[in-house]
Amino acid sequence: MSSMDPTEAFRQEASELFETLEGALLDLGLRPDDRELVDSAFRALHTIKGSGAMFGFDRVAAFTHEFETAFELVRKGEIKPTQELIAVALAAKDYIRALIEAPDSADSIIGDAILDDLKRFVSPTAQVLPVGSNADIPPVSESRPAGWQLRLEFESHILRNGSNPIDLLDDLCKLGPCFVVPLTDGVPLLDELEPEDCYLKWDVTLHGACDKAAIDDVFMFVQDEMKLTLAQVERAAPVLAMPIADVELAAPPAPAPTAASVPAAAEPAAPSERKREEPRRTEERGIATVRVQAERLDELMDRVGELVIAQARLSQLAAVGSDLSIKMIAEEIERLAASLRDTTMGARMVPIGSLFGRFRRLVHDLSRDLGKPVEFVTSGEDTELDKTMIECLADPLVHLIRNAIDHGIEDTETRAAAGKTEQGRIELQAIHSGAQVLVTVKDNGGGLNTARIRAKAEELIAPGAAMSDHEIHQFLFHPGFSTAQTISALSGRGVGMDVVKRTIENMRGSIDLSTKAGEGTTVTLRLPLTLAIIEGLLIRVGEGRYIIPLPAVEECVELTAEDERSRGRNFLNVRGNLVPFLRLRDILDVPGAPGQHQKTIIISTGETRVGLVADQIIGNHQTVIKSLSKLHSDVTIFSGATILGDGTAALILDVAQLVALAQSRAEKQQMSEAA
Amino acid sequence: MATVLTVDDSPSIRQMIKVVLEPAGHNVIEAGDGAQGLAKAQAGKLDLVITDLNMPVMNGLELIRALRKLPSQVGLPIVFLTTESNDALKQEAKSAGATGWITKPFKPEQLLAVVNKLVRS
Repeated sequence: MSSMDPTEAFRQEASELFETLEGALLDLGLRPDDRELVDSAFRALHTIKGSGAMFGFDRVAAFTHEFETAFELVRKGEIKPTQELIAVALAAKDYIRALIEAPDSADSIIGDAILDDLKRFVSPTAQVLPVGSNADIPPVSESRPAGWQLRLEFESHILRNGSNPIDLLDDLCKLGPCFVVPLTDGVPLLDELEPEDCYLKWDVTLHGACDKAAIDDVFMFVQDEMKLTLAQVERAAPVLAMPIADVELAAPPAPAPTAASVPAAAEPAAPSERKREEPRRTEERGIATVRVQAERLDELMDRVGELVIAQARLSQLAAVGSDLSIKMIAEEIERLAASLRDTTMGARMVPIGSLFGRFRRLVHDLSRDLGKPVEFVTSGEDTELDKTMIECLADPLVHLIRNAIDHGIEDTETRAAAGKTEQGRIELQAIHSGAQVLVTVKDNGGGLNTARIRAKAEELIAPGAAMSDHEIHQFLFHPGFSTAQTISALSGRGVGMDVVKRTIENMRGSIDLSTKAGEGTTVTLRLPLTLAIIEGLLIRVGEGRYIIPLPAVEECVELTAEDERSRGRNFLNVRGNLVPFLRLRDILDVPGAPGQHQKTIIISTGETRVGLVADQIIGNHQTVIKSLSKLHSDVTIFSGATILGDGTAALILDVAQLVALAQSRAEKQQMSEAA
Repeated sequence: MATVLTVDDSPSIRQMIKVVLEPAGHNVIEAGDGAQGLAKAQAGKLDLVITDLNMPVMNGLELIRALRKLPSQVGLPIVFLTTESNDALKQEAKSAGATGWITKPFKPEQLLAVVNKLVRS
């Protein structure tokens, strides 16, 4: 890669060298006599040193030089690489890595400590070293500690005597970088809490070679009112370099510039705040560093799906049986499977809201540039979609929103003339619908000009051909098709809708347009979830069992004799509102007479409500959605299938399709009644 | 800047404390005995009290105990002046509620170190 930034190239090279180095060091632990391994470790070190100096990583070069020198005896074969020595060498390697990757977080105190350790391990054969350097190396028994591990436990009245543990922690921080962790287990419940008492304990890791006297000095006034547990840390773990840096960021301005810790507070509330802070930061780092191939996640998801199904069978068996211990295990497994499922799903899914947020600015800018006031409304931000899918959706949505503002929304005069509000409105919505997520972009503009699209289309097809409006609108997705008379910077180039369509289809989704002259246009993107697990309502119709996605279910009502009598009209009176209903027995062609107590499940998509009549409502069901095969691609009212606890299959009803079906039936009925 | 009350029956000690602390930016109030000191403490907010133990009218121990009972001075750091030899008295003063101590004779930097240790901005 010739275009790569040389520093970046060095980082990459170094990263490979570190792997070599680490591998060699670890192998050396197993085969201490292998000269080849020592040499390979040395070569890696040498290259890091040389390149580091060239690319301005002076600290790396300096440290690596020291490391190399100390390690020289191993290379000469004068000392054997012991486990301890390898451990130090690995720590040194980590430190060099930190120097390269995050130079600010690598504290030179840690580096010095590592070097001291290294020298200590290789110096027992002191006669080899020149006298001068020998003087620098303290005798082993009095080796300068790399740091201190302290536990501070104060007597509860400490605050009343005018001592403040925060101040003491501050003083401690002046001795060297500290990593402070408050221990809150002694804090009682609020009603037992004495506000003037100190309940907290602290664990402090102090990095720095200060003497014990300096630490004692900090606690001079409170020594007999506290328990101070003090232990030397022989080697400062370089891993800690990261938390230290983080704490530094989180800390309020400390009184001394060298203080590198949060002065943990004496109030019980404050430490919990700090604790919250910490895991979050760890999490952020995790997101930044862990990359997993998408296929692996898919595989994992499949396994989890199968596990959930197997678990459902176990639960069912356990529920039928009378063995209490099996029941307990089944419950435990149910809980574990559920959390495993959530975690796995969570690994892939992100709320679409992160995407919606970006469009606010886009709408704002466009509306200003075009002089069309537009209200931008979003809903369903917490609808979750696969992360890669969300990334792919950004461009198509930008295009659709631009179109909606540029072409959809009329200018203010036209709107005023049509009796509309001056401000246009664009709605961006995401909802879950069975195994799909529907993303809609809806404007309340003038709608598509079907005649003009037809005229333009007739350049491509035979004039006068019989085509439905829907078919005509499909021309908008043809490459190079544009009805715009003038090309603006925003749209009208005829490039776009075809790209949008292609992008969506690449995601195995589909795009649909619906428009009403004078009222606006709605573009609906249907995006599949290859596998998802939803909460479903399990129902029975005849012998078959079906799932209705629970989010779509509003309520369940008994189908009364009166409703039954209205056969043919198919409207249900729900608290004064007429709701059209569908008999699932009719739609699914179930033979035989329905049972006595039929139930109606009211489902809704947005504003439209529809009743579905079923024979029985069985209950909630954790539904693992499996897509239907291609052979069933023309089946519209099912969005997928699932496997029930007893191993039989249940089909998942496509709520959106059923609502549309009921609506069209209701409209037909109204028209025939009117006729 | 902190308000420091120095309570001592010896004006020279009070003077020395004042001479050390005032250039360091602190406001020094003086009291000649425990009773006066208590009255000063009741009159306004303090950041630190430096008191001798052996004083007429109300001694240092009594002053410390009285100050600890003042609701307006909760958490007030109180430092007493003591001599190296008197460990029992030191313990007594600590259990009366003192925060720290300064051993006589002290150097200006020692005094400042203690004040800076207990007074935070």
